[in-house]
Amino acid sequence: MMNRRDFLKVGSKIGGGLMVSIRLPAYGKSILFDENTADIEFNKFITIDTNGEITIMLTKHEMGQGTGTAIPTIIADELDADWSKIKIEQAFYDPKYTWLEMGTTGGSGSIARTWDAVRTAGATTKALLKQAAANKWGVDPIVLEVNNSKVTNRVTNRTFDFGELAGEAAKIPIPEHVVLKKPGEYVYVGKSVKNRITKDVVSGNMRYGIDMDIPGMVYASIERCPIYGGRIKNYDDTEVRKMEGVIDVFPIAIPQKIKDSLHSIVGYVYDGVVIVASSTWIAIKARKRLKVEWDGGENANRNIVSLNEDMAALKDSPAIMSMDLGDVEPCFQNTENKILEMEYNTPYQTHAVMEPLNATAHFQDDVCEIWVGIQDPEKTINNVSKALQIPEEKVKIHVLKSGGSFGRRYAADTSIEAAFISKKIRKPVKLTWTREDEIKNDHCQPYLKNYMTAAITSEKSVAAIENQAICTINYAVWSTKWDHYYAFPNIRCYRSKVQTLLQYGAWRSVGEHSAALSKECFVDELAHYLGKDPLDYRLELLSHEVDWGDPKEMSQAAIERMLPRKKLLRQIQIEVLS
Amino acid sequence: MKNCSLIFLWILALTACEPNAKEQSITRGKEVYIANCITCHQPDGNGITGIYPSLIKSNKISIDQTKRAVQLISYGSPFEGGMKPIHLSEKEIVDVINYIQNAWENETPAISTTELRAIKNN
Amino acid sequence: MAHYSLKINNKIYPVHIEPDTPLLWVLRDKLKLYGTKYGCGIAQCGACTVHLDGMPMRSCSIPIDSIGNKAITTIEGLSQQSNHPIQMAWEEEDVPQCGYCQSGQIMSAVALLKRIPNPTDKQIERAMKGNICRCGTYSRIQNAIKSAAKKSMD
Repeated sequence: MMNRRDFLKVGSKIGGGLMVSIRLPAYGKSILFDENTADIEFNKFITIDTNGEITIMLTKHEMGQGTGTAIPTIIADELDADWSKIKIEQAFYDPKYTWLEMGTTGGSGSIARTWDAVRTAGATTKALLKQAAANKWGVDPIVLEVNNSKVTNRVTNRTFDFGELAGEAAKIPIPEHVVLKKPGEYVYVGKSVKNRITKDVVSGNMRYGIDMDIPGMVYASIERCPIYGGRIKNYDDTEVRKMEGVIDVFPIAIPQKIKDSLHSIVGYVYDGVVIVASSTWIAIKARKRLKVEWDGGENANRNIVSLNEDMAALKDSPAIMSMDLGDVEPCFQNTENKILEMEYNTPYQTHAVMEPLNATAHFQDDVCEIWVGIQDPEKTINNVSKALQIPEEKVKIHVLKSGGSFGRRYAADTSIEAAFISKKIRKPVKLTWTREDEIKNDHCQPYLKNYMTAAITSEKSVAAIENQAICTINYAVWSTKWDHYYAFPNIRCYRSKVQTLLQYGAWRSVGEHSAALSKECFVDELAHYLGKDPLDYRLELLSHEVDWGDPKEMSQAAIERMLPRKKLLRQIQIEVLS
Repeated sequence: MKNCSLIFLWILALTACEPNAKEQSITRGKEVYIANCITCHQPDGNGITGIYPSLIKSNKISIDQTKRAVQLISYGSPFEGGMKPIHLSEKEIVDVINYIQNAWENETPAISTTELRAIKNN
Repeated sequence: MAHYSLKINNKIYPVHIEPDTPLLWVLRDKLKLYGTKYGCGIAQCGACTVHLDGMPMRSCSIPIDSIGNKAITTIEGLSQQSNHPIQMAWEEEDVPQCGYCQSGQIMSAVALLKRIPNPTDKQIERAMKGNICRCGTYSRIQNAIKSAAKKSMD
């Protein structure tokens, strides 16, 4: 049982009212307040004003996934608050928060990882308000009920609004234990609650990162190297400089030494030529008059055809064996067995986020402020500071809403570029990627070629499976292990990596879906060959105990993060199928 | 079986005689035009001088022009900054061409899906 | 550079700008009317849809020089209190997910109902085809248009 005092702070809001701050857990492990900190305003998670207005601080990035509505509904539910009195504010990212608390939004974990803590915060706040009412009336809290932001005395039928209790509640010690709601008691959770952004969207008042506006700002567009890993050789901007509205033209090429210190995905910035202009249109238009010569580097002479050949060539080359269950060899050597072989390709895919990539930066007095829709402000700060060679504490990130992300906005590239430009011209600048830029220079979903082979006996049962995954990244367990999937008696898996042609990154998860697609398609092929119903066949394959491996041989991260997810995945798989 | 083909022929004859078929196609085509073409070619079909060409060709629309229109809609222009392909169904292409070729000062016999296929495959 | 006087949402805006600047960038960069969104810049996604004399147009592909006296309506000018029947239906059906494409969707829908007050499913599909939604809210868009049409028929 968590000790509320250790992860919750309660105090008075300046100007009256109640303020609750919490530490959010990391992968089920709670983070606690330092005993000596009195930082009531740590993240101002829940604030209740004397007029009854409730402010919930959103610690995650809203990008269309709905977390900006979902997390507040969980709090509102445990708090028994009036949904119409809830205001949602985006928290300002500060390095004092740990990475999982507020430093990142992703991994499909915003709710799963904060669920308990968020509910407890709501329930504790309610308990405090209830106690405050009990104190005011001099009654036992047992006779009180809370509903729609009101505490009612069931005996006298008198009520207090949350606002009238907020001041008093701030002075009450945090209760040791609170009772959380049971599923049947939820008012908002599991029900259809309207998207909080709808009102602003329909009026046209919704502001995304791309709508950031700073008085006096200029606009930038970058002609980037079309080849991943390429560098700029030289450029001619004579024609560009003649154009009305063009303010400045300069190259962006982070020195190799600094480049090596940045995160290879999050901190990767393409070489390019920056055009700063009086409008986005002029900056985009001016790029057409730019003459740039690129050094394509290792990827210069490669293309999708040669990549396909490189991948296919690896099929019969030595690879890393990632799973070896039983003995597949005799099954494949047995000439009486039928061999079924399939090849699955999941090619590079771009994110095509509806809101084109962008960032707005203002570098002044040695401080770089950035306004951007970003999934990982912590890594962004880290990479911007390294790229610009300025201390981390001089980089401030304001997280704005995004029009879609799907993993793309993990990357700090737009922030680094905008910060670099602003530092150079000492003016606020908004950088916008064109749609073409995004498709050309995206962090694609990696390319996976999955070869599947099965040995099928004359009695029509699958004796062995061999899975060879060839990918443009070193796909770990997800694509090349079958242990939490289906029970084939003998399984062998290999994986090998081919040098990528395009930059890669998270794309609605990383490898699970492309791996699952090929595996499930192959199981369908098997069912079809065996003349079985695909669903029945899957259930048959799932009716076995899984050997999850010896925890002693696993890393701490594998035990804490991977194992529970694998078990959950299997459980869901069975639930969905049966 | 014989009955079926007779009914089929009868329906075919009926639709061919339908005086409104062309009008209906044009009406649908106008909606396709508004959703997909109007920005560049403008409500009056005049386009925007120097950027987007006019679609007004009077009553001398040749089969080559129709073919070019079908190609532009289906595959776009090969030139940079030229027209992008428009993702339309066969029926929508037929309708929008019938609209364009009979709007403003244009006047041309309507085309059908069969004719569209013939133009595409030619 | 040239001087223009644009009629936007029943107000006159004087603008001094390059004649080939698309209306989209005039609205966003010069006039700070950020409700109209940039999505593709080549009239393929519909996010930047505005009305020119009531017709839905992709503002990213219309040079300011070609606008003349036409009346421009953006999402901000649809109604005073976001109470246009389409806006209300959008709220009721809770259409948006990330919301980025929705100004364009709403502008196309409003123009559709002006032409066809009670459209069929097919007509809605046809009219909305040029507007892409990456979240896939299409069925809710369809429902919202129908419910707005029904309300104005009643």
